[in-house]
Amino acid sequence: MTEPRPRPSGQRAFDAAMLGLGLLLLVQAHGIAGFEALSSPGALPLAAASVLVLAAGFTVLRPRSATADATPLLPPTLLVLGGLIGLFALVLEPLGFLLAGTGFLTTAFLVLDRRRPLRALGLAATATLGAWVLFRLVFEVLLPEGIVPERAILAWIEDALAALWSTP
Amino acid sequence: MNGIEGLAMAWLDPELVLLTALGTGAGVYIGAIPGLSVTMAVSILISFTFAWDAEEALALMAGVYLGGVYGGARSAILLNIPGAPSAIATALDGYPIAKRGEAGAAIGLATVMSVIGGFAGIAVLALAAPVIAEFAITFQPRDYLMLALLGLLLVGSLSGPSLAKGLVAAALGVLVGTVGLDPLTAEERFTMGVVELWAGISPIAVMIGVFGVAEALVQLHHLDTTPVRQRVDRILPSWRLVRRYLPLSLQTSTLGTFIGALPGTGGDIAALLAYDHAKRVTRKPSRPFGEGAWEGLVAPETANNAAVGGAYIPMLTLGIPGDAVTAVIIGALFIHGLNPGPMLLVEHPHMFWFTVGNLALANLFVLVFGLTGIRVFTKLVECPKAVLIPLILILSVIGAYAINNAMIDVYFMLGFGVLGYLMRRYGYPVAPVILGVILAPLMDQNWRRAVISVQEDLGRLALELVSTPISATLTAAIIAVLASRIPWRRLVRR
Repeated sequence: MTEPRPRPSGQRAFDAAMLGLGLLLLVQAHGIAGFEALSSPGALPLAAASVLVLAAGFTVLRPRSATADATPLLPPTLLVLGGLIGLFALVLEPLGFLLAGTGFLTTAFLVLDRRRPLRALGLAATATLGAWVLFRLVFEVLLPEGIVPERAILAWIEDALAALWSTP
Repeated sequence: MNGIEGLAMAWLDPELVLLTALGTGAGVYIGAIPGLSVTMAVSILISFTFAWDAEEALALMAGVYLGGVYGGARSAILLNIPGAPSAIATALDGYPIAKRGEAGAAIGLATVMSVIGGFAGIAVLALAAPVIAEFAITFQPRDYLMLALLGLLLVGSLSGPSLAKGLVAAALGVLVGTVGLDPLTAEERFTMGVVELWAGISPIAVMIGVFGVAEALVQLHHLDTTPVRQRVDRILPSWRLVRRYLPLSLQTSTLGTFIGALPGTGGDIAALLAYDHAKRVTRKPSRPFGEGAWEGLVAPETANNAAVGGAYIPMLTLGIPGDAVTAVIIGALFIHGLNPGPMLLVEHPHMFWFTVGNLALANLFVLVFGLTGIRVFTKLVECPKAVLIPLILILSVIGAYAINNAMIDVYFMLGFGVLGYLMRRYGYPVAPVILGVILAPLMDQNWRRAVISVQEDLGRLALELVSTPISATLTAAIIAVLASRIPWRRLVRR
C-alpha cells in the first residue's frame, strides 16, 4: 500500500477558515432578501453560499494524512516580500511610481538575490524607468506621480526636443 | 463590417499584424520562462489594453496565448522544467531527446507540430463555431444556467483531485462575482455598507491577484532551482521526421481540439491525454516512452496548441470559457462592450472572423519565432527568479492600479493574491474562482429569467429541465459529471 501524501502544515486550519468564511457569507446572503422569492437578488448568493458551506464542511470532515509536511507555510523571504509589496502599495500614491518602484525593487533584489547595493539600485532604477516608459508613455496608463514632478519633466523634455529640431 | 473584412483586417492592417507578432514573440518567452504563466500575462495585459480598440487588444492577447502555449515546450525540452502546465507531458520525452544531443531537432519538431495542431484547432473553430452558435440561439435562460453550472462543475472537478475543493473555489468565485449593487433592484449584496463596493470587485483585480501575485509567491519556494542547460544544434527539422509523425499529429490535433472545446479543460489536460493516446496507439515507438520517444514529444505538442482553437469555441459561441485563459479573454470582451455568446456571431460577425484570422496569423508567427532566436532565448530563460518575482509583483500592482486609477483595486488584488497563494498551497484550484467571477452575472440573470418564466414554480422548472432535448442533455451531463466523481467502490465497500 502506498503511503498517503503528507498534508501541508496548517491544512486543517485553512479548511476550517474556508468553512467559517462560507458560514459568514451564508448569513450575509440570507440578509440580502431572506427567502423572499426565488427571483430575489439574494437567491443566487444564498445558493452559492450553501454550496460553499456544504463543500467546505465535507473538506473539513474528510479523513486525511496524519503526517504533516515540514515545508514552512511562510518562509522568511515570503514574509519579507509580502511586507515589502504591502509597503509599496501604501507609499505608491504619496511617493509616486518612480520612487516607490525603485525603492521596492532595490530592497527586493537585495533580499532575494543578495546583490551588491549599487548593482541592485542600478538594476531596480533601470527596470522601473523601463516599466514607466512602457506603461506611461507607450500604453498611456496613468501612474501615480507622487512627489516626482513627472508632467514638468515631460514638458521640459518635449521643449528640449522641439528646440533641438528647430535649431538650424 | 462583414466576416470577410474582419478576416482580411487581421492580416492586412499593419498595426494589428505588428501587435500579433509582438504578442506571439512575447508569448513564446513568457510561456518558456518558468514562473511566468500565460494566464498571468493575459490578466495583466487586460488592464493595460482596455482603452485600446477591441481588435488591437485581442490581437495582442491571442498572440500571447498561442505563443505562450508553445513556449512552454522549449524550457521543457532544454531544462526539463515545463514553462507552462501544458508542457508537462512534453518534458517526459523532450528532455531525454535533448540529453542525447538532439535538442535542436526536438525544438524544431515541437515547433512544426505545434503549428500543425494550432491550425487544426483554428480550422475546427472556423467550421464548427457558426453551426454551434446557430444552434445556441434556441437556448432558453435555463439552458444557459445549466451550461454555466456544467462549466463550473467541469473546472471544479478537472482542475484538482478533490471535487469538494473545486466546488469551494467555484462557489467562492460566484459569490465574489455577485458583490455590489444588484443590476435589477439596486439592492446591496455583500457590500457591508462600503460605498467602494457598490460597483463590485473588479474581475481583473481578482485575476491578477490569483494568477499573478499568487504565482509569484508560490515561486518563492523554488528560488534555488538551477536548470541544466543543453547544447542546441540545427533547429530546422527534416521533412522525413515531420512526414513520419504527421498521422499521429493529426490524431492528437483532433483530440486536443475536442478536449480544448470542453468548458473547463485546457491545453494541459489535452496534452496529457494525447500523450496517453500516443502510448496506446504506437506499437513500435522510436524509443521507449519516457526515454526520448519522438512520439511522446509530437503528441502533447500538437494537442496543447490544438486546444487553443478548441477553447475559443465555447467562449465565442456560448460565452462559456474553455480554459483559464479564455476566462480572462471573456473579461476583455466584456470590457470592450462585446457579449460573447451566440449573438456575437450574429451582431458582430467581423469580430468572430477577425479572431479566426488573427489566431491563424499568430500561429504562423509561432513558426517564425519558434525556429529562430534560440540564443537570446537561452539567456532570457535563465533570468534568476529572484529578479523575476519582484518584477511580476510590480507589474501586478501597475495592472491593478490601471483598472480605475484607484488604490482599492490594488488592495483587492493583493488580498486575492494572498488568498490564491493559500488556496494553491492547500490544494484548492484557483481557476474555478475566476470562472465563477466571470459566470456569476450570467448565472444570476438567467436563473431569475428562468424562474420568472415559470411563475417561480420549482416543479415546473424541474419538469422543463428534463422535458426539452437541450435542457435534458445538459442536466444529464451535470449528473454524469457529479456521478463520475463519487467514489462508488469505497461507498459499496462500507
